[in-house]
Amino acid sequence: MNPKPKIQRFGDRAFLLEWNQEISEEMYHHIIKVRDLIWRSLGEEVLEMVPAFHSLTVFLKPEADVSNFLDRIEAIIDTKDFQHDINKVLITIPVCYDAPFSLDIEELAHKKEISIPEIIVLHTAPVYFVHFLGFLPGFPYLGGLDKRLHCPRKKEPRQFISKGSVGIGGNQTGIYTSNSPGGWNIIGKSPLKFFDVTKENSALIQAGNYVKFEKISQEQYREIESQVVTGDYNLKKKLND
Amino acid sequence: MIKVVSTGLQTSIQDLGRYGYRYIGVPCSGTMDKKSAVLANHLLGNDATAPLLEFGHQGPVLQFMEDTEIAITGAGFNPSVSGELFALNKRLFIEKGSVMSFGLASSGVWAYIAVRGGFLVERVLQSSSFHSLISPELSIQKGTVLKNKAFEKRINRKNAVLRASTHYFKQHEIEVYRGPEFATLNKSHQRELAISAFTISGQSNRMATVLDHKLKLSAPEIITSAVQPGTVQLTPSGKMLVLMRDAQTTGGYARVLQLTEEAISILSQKRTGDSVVFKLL
Repeated sequence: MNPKPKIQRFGDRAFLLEWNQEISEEMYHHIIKVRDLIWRSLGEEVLEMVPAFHSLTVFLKPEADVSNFLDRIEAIIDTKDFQHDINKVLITIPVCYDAPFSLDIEELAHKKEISIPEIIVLHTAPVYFVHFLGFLPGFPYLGGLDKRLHCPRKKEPRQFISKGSVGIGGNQTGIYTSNSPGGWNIIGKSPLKFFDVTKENSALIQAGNYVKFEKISQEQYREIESQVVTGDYNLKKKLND
Repeated sequence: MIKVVSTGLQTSIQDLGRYGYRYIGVPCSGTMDKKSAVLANHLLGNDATAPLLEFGHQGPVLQFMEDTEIAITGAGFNPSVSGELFALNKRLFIEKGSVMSFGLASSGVWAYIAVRGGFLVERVLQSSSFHSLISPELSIQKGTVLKNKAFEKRINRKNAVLRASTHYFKQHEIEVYRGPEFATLNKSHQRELAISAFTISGQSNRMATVLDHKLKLSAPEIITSAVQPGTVQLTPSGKMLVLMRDAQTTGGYARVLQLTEEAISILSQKRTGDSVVFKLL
């Protein structure tokens, strides 16, 4: 892995750090180390930072000195002696792959020449890694989708996709955490609530977590859905060794 | 207190935005035309961060339930009470019982009403800005009573003027930085971006302004990375979008240009069919 990012200005008060086009857990941990280094050394001038697959965007406060910030980032990026704690949390997400939730699963099966049950097996088998959150509040970008399920986004995005929908876009799979327009191929739906501003951690799934999908029936979907509403659902969450 | 008798269009409460939560995918939101919003608060001696009422194209009808000091800025509305016109960009004293209507904007899109002390609105994730996915409300409803924060200083009954430059409403050229993927475009596409006029499409909203063009511009998708208000995205099919205040935090389209903060405010006031030219910094 290339430890030196390319750094460029990104508008009035932001800088974009980009590493080589690699998507991996190592890349995530490296980006988080750099993020923490920047917080520690230049944090007073930093408004917020947004990590992504192979990039970190640093947004500066209005009072920050933008003129030499690029040099100052370069000067501190040395992550050799900088450790950060790795907590491996595995979250199990129940998903119903049946109609009417799985809007595009037949089309996907046809395109990929795989049966629907096989799509479900391929989708529920991996442990996915959460590289970062973005696109929608609480939306996890997951790595680890089986190559056999890779499928381009739909040419015409849908105007409305209901929250909880699980989809495939390109080489990624993810969960629509809010109602949204979107172009991903929808293969199922989860009854969980993925974003809640009343909770201290508004996002159910955090960057750095691991996620596994578990196939549920429509009956189980309804049951979990009502448990989520009453607050009685126990999220399956454990430390992953 | 101000009662909303009728809502107008896209009427919401906005402040300077919601920051610190982009890493969990929460959009910035905030006033579309930040320049006008800052001016309105400034006229009243409010903090720049005080929440304001924002509306676009068509204004609300407001009933003032007490004597209130306000300032109205932004698009070319003609606010009036019982036929008496009130000026924009001024500190105004409005008497209890007044019913103010705004009608349609004759120029620009977004207007702002600030009240002395700022509107008292619930803060969600450290901001009062409405956003459909974050705040309990998406827009102001008919019959809503807007409260304002108490202010200590005595009410000023004179209508003070501050010379406001609204020249930028007519500005055709807007300043942009090269975006992260600008360099990946071929030279002729780079040139076309810099010299062509782009037309504001009717599909534009608080999330994005769609720009129509007849050029053969396009760019491949990228590995998803951060975007921000003012990011100009170019899609593989050639669609060009300028992300606005409610935009998502990350995206997979090429970021070919990045508007300056000022340029975002200018663009927000352009109407369908208006055009802009990018001036590369």
